[in-house]
Amino acid sequence: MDIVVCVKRVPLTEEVDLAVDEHKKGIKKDQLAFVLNDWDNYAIEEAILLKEKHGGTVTAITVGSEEDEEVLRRCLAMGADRAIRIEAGDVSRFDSFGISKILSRVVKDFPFDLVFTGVLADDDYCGMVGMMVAEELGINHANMVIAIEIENGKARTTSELEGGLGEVSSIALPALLAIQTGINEPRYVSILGIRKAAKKELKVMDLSELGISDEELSPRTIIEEVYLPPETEGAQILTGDPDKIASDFVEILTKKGVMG
Amino acid sequence: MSEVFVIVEHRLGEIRDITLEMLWKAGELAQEHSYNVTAILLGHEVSSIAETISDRADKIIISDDEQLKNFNADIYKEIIAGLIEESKPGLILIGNTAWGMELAPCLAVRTGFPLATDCIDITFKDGKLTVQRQMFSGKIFSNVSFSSSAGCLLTIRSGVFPKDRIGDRQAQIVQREFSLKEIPQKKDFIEFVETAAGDVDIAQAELLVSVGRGIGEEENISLVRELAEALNGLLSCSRPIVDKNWLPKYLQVGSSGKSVNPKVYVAVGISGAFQHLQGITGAGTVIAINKDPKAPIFRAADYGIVGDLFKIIPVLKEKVLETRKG
Amino acid sequence: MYYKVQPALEHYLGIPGLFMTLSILIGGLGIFFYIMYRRYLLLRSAKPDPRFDSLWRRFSDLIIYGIFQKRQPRYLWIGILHIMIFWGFVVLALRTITLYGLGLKAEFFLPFLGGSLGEFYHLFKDIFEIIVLFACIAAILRRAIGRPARYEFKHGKAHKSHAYLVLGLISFLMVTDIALDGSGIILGEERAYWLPAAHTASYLFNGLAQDTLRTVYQWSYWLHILTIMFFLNYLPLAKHFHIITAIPNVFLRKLKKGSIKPPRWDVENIEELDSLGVDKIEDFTWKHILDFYTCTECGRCSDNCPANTVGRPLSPMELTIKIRDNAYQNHPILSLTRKSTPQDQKTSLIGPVLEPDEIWSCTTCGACEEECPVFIEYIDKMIDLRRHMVESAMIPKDFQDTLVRFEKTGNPFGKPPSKRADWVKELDEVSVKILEEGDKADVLYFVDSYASFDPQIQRIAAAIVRGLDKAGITFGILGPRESDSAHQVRRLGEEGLFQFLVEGNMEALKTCSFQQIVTTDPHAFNTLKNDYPGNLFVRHYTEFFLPLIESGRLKPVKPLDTGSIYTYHDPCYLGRHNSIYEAPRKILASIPGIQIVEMERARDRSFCCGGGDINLWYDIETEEMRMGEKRLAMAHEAGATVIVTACPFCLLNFDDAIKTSGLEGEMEVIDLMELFISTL
Repeated sequence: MDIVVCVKRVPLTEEVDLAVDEHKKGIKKDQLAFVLNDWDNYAIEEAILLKEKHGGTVTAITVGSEEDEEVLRRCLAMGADRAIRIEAGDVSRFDSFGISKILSRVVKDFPFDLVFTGVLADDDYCGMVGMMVAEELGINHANMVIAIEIENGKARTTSELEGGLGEVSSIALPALLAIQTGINEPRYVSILGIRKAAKKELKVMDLSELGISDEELSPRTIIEEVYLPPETEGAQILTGDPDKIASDFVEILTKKGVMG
Repeated sequence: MSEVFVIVEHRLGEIRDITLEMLWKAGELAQEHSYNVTAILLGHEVSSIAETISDRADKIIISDDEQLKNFNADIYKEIIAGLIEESKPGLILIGNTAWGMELAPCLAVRTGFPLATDCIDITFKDGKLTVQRQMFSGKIFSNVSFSSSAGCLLTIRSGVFPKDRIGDRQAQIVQREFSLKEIPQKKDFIEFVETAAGDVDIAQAELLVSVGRGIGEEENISLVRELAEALNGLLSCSRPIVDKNWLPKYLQVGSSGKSVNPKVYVAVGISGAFQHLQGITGAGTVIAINKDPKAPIFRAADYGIVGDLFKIIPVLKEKVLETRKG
Repeated sequence: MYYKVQPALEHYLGIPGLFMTLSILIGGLGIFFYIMYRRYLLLRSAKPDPRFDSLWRRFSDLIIYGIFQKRQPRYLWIGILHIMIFWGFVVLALRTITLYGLGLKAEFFLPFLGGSLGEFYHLFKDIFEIIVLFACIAAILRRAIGRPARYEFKHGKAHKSHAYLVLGLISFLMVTDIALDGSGIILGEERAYWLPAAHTASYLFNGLAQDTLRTVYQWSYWLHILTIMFFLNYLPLAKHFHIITAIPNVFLRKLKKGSIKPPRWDVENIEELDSLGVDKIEDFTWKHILDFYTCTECGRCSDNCPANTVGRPLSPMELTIKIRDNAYQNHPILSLTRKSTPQDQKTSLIGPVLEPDEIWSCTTCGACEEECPVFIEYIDKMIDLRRHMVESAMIPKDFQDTLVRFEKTGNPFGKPPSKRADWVKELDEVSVKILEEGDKADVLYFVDSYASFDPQIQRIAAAIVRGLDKAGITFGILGPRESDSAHQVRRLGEEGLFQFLVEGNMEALKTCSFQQIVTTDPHAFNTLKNDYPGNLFVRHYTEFFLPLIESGRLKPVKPLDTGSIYTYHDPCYLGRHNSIYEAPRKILASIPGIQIVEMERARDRSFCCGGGDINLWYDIETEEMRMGEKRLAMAHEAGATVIVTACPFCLLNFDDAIKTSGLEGEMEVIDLMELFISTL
């Protein structure tokens, strides 16, 4: 069972106030810490779980610069067998179309049974690369996958639909699955584990090796401007000392008829 | 730009709200720029669905076939690509839903059209199409435009546009048949399952107190539970709480959980990610408690308390109990 | 001394007594050495542990704790009984040798115990035999009737029958020797002194025929000899191995309290190791395995363990005994294969023997190590077990996020490092210097993560900074260049991350010059002092401010509101681990008119608040009540209305506990520095 997992390194933005950079096309990144994209964390874990169950190999790939190798090291430490980084210069000039072209061109030459991606990336929140790679490769696919079982060359997947509904399907391999959060509990890798993973294979390929034309990589969506959320009137903030706030709270509930 | 395609999303015989929202927006754009709205409806025994939208589109292209009974991205992709080839619409709208997100990117590669996902607004000015979308879990907004003006694919976020009828239309129904045998069937549908079944149905609750990541640790959830109990309401939560296995899936509010419509929804330590907000569009009054004044939830809430939930919740609970006694 | 019966010369069923003694000696000692050799093999296959430093200190501690048994009377009455039995053994050692000698050579006596000294010794040992017999009987009754709770096992089986066996054997030895002496007296042996035990026995034997007396004499003799040899061989098999190993174990004790051992003493670069931490018993160091041999199942550790008290799955004694039983099983004395279990069949400890939650339950408070009379160590073992669990990803998910945040942002909250010194902006009266490269100050104030980011703890930092300012000290903080001290990270078992954070901090520290480091909290103090390289001169704020207060540079003047009664809670990492008990008390006492009470469990018997370690980020489900609540109840019982802490984590835990116990309004918690500053 050979699995290729496409991963991405994204900024950690949970507790941070973001600021727009001077070009207004991106955010200021110098003070940010970077981590493996949460969805990709689940994807890699799922790939490794399947490898532990069925045998085979797991390959992690990313399109990025040397700094992005740290997420590949993390994947290797979790149990991936090898990793590939595609050096493509300033990656922010590509949109999902470009990235998926690059990834599919690399993956095409591997023997694989499954390709995993995360459903979304924490930074752009586009969610396009997964399905696009599947289409470029011309293979079967499923999105929002929250459960996978492999049997007889087929994957039985459960996709998460809205409202607590799930859709169970059967897909013949090879296939691409976009993995949703919550499918498993990604294992922890210690610093030592990551350092030891440095011994595993991490290959760097250059974009120029892939023979993709500039035209194919040119972005089809253009970010005109980014900005902080507009200050809408939003909520009426209750103020005062805790006691007053609590009284106001109860008053609102009473007016809405739920204080019974 | 003469035509806007809207791909109708329906499930288990019911039209989904996102379709109505997309038709509204398509209708608004159509009014401003005088072009037609064409709904594409693929399925089996879907005439009643066509009825529902007959006054919201100029044309409905229906393909009613047994093989289209269950949604299949590959089949839809081929059919729609063919229709796009024929009619060359300037804009194609698809719902930013589980199915839509499977279909749209494939369709984009298939047709070569640009695609922007999860759009929350569409503007067409001086011949240029721009969409508004969010990044970084809603902390940043962006305006996106497109390289070619031949045609664009957009997926639209649920709950952003109204579901109302706009304009006065009478749809021309066009029945089409497609030879589906040539389209390779890549995915076999097996069944639907309930991923969020449980003892309690939060969708029926009148009052919900919902807990999010801001609670910090699993043991602190009891604090919020106590408030819910004091109010005779139910406890619910956002997705991260379920991902961590702190609460069961059937208590999850949001696009992948349950949609709820209580009279009052109290959001504790919830940032207000849009997937969560989609679950409470039907809520009456939303009261948010969060220590971050910039949290997106405050945009969606009616009332807000900015502060440390660990200090506030006990005080609220006491006041509620006090009031009940007296 | 004149002996009427000479066992060496007698014949038993044709076999000369001398021959019998020799057989017992050679056979018995032969078996004994074999058993000891098998026990030694396990030690040999374990990891290295350097324990032969500071010999002078080790010898003096051996006298105090080993010979004078200083820790025994912490449980007063049984402690005294044990001291009696121990001293009995010491005194009777010479008698044992003499008796064996008599079986080899007629009229044998030890060189220096010939004349009057010998007679005096005879009296001495006779009195001790009564004391020991009395102590053994008292101990048996106490066990059988009193049934002390600390001997019970919550899960698994205690080996209490062995206790009765040994007490019985010792009593038997006393009785046989008394009978020996008693019958000897009637047979005509003369003694210089009146021997209370022997002469009383002789009255009982009065009237028996000569032949009967000789039989009694010889039976007493041989039974005694045999029992001793049996006893000796029995020791390494069960919980009384401590009789042999306790003295070495005390001698080899861990001297550097508060520090955590490196993963391997003999390997400096952890990347070279195939595995980190302890998975199988051979991964422990030989001293730790000696610890397992030495445990006597006395239960004092578990009795004082806060995790055990609140119902967590951890009981230190049971942990040790489980591991020991497992070790004995895998390394048997007798085995058909003549070797220990082969490598691949050796059991992992975690899972088959120990539960993960047992190991996560420990707050590293050190109460167990403080109590153990034979100085068994626990904390290093827990950390070693955790190291393995971290490397094998057997770690609760809740920790993972926290550890990733430590790695990426240098604090457990995930807040950007650039904001680490933002709290400084809130202070109006004092300006805090952020030390850049090349800057100088007298004091480097190591704030650490909680004081930097948590609003409640920022108040303590503010108080410390005001104190420094008022006392006219030039000081600075590292600000954004400071990372968490990594105390918790190391004790969680993430050694790689600990080293990473230490490197970062050392780099930053090297760039500035300062006389000393002062910390907000005892954890940072402990790790900077005991774990960090470079012999940093670091003090906790209590020790730093005390001389300033005593010299009058900081003078508390404002009175506190009357009616509040204060009690001081000793934080584990200030108190037990670093022996700082008086400085905080003196600071507290310096406040005019303050009313102070002392809790029953104070100083080295302080009860952990619940932890500034893992317990912040992970919840042990099975616990019945929080440690903080338990300790708060103790403060309440002592009559206090305000509990004073010197540690941010204690503060947070008690603050929580006040709310969850419903004692709001009745009890308050305050940090010592905050309290003190308010009185200036």
